[in-house]
Amino acid sequence: MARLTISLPDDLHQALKETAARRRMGLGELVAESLVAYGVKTRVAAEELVRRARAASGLSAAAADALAQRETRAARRRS
Amino acid sequence: MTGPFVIDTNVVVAGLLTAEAAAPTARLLDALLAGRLPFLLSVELLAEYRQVLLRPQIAARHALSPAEIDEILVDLAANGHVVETRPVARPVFPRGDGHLESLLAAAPGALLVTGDERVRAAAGARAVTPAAAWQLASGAR
Repeated sequence: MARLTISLPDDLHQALKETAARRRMGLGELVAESLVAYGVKTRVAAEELVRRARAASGLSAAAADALAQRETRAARRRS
Repeated sequence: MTGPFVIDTNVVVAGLLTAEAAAPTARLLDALLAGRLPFLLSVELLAEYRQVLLRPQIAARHALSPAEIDEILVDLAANGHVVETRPVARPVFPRGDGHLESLLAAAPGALLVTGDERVRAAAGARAVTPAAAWQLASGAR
């Protein structure tokens, strides 16, 4: 687990402490949850999903290209 | 730096499905997700990514849930620049490809990356294959 020192305005620091106490969480835990809620995520999630998709599919580049073009074209015909 | 690029749906889909890590579509998708390639999006194009990625023939291959597909698309959207588009007055692209033409019209310096020969023929010098785009992008770094 990485450690990070940050500077906050006094009132925000106080609000953070009060919220963490109210929710029975650590400060770091609350900051991490807030970052996720704000859309700050690790890149690993999407990369891992892409890795899984490629492994499941197992298609060659040529086969993936052909399928992707066919299905995109089919979707556009329906639109 | 070359670009920005407009990435056609077939490139994103092929990049997700190919097991060949060195395939240009795979390299492009990896670069988009890592924020290493400037690219443009419209709301319509992003919606089409989702629509095609969830088509039965495609979903059966990647085996990801709709929520997992959305996770990937959220990351893509976060790295792309969303452009507001409007229909072009005299379209030359094939029917159904108008959203790509609108996006190119809204961003005169952009280059379309597509695996579809018919779209490349319509776009002329403003479209390249995934392989050519990867060459341009990696040469520019």
